[in-house]
Amino acid sequence: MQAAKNSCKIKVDNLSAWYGSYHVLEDVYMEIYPRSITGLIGPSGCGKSTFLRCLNRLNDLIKSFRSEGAVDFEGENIYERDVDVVLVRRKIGMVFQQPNPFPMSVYDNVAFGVREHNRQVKKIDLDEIVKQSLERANLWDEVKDKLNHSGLSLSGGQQQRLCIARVLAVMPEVILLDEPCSSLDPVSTAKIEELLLQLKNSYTVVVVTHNLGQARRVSDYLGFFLNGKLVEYDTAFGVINNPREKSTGDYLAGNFG
Amino acid sequence: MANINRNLTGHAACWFSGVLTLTICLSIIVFLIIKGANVISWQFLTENPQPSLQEALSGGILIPIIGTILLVGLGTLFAFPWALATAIYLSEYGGDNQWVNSLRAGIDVLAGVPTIVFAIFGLAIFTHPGLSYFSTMVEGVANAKAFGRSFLVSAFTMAMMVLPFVTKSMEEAIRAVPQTYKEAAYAIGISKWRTIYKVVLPAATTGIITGIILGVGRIAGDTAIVWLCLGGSMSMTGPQPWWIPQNWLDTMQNTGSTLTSYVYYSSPAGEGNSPNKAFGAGLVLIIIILALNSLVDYLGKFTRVKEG
Repeated sequence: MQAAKNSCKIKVDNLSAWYGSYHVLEDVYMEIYPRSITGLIGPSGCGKSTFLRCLNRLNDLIKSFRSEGAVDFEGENIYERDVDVVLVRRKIGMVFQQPNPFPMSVYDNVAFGVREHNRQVKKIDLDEIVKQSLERANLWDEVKDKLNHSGLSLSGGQQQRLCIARVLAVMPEVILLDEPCSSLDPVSTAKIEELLLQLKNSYTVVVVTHNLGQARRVSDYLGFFLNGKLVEYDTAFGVINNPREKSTGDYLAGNFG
Repeated sequence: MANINRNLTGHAACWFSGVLTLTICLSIIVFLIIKGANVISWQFLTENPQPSLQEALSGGILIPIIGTILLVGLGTLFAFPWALATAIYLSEYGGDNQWVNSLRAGIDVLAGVPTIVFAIFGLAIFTHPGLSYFSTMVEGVANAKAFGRSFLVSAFTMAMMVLPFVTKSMEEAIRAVPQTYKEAAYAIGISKWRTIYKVVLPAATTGIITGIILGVGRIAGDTAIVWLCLGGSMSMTGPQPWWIPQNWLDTMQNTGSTLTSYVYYSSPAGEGNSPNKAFGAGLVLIIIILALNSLVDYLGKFTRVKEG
């Protein structure tokens, strides 16, 4: 545990955030470790999704958004003035609550980011990257015969795995997932969870979830948010079996949520 | 019971208005067909107009048809990039501030300006000798002056005239692209401009095409700008033959004729004496515009099916 702490991938230091005058995050401190799954739980409106979107600066899209504090990615604060946000997002990819494939073919959905980042990429290399990414997302066998079909023609679960493949194709180091299973059926959910457990062997994974069972099944570390504060953060085992705060215990017991 | 009566009255009023609109629209078309269909023949469509007060000798409408197509093409060429860039700016970059609001207000005002005002404005600008490239120089006058009437001048003025309508329609199309597409692109490290260029615009293509065709219909149907900025000729006034490539630029710098100006100059209400041919030309124009509208409709349906 101590060794892992020294090599944390992302260190969030005293992060506060506002939408206009509404204070959504208060002084969040969190260290996120590589090759592990960090789960974020908490009731609706607690700030966990906002927190996740701070990690790749996707909140920049919202006009009234403002933040203070630092998010150090490999020792560099991504909120510094001279940081190239586009480059940051290339290394910290994101998967959303609703599957959102582009209105393009399955192949192009995965190839799009690669082509954009390397305009000279050869067709043969691109084919390989697309295949590998789809394999890693456990989708290849289901779509290999319909790479030219529209991404929108796939089922919800397949679309979500396509979105994961799209992120994997640009070779990020961190993958953020914002309630990736909330719109999926149990079978698709199980497939995504299995996939997350595979992904943590090579990536840093941060997943926001509403589903306590899911948090229990996949997380190595678990953070509990309440009213914009990170109330408790520890190993998943520790948080679940031995919560330090009363509110964490109450939430896990289902007393509110 | 009272409620039902009120409902019935409302129904009847709406129904009546709808039928009235449809009737007016159909009457114009039927009227044109009755008056104009009998002059439409292969000859009418493929012969040039001749200056004659005798209807039988006044020729056909080939040059006006070509003029209409040329003007629509050039006008669209000017209007398309201009409107698209404005629409992208308004929907993606402008945000919501004082400057953007005044730009929007300006566009709304532009939409309400009568086309004859655009025409005078275009003429006033393009008679400036420094802009003689767009038309020709007037020879033999003391003060240097450009003629200010040509296909290029009319096309540019037409572009100004359709700009607000085309921009609005394109802006709506761009705004309708789901935010989730943009987020997806940003989340894999695509820059804002590349996201617009590669994700947003392709997703908005149908709406953008609808905007273009809307502009095309308006350009094809406008008369005031043609009247002032293209002049009163029935033929191409540039070097002849006007259609050989060496003369293309000259043809565009000179004046010509369109179906709308033909209708004016050949009808007795205007300056001619060929009422039947005026109706014929009007019918051809209406057919061209209706065809364009059907195309819009078809494209609209096509998208709905694709998304559904």
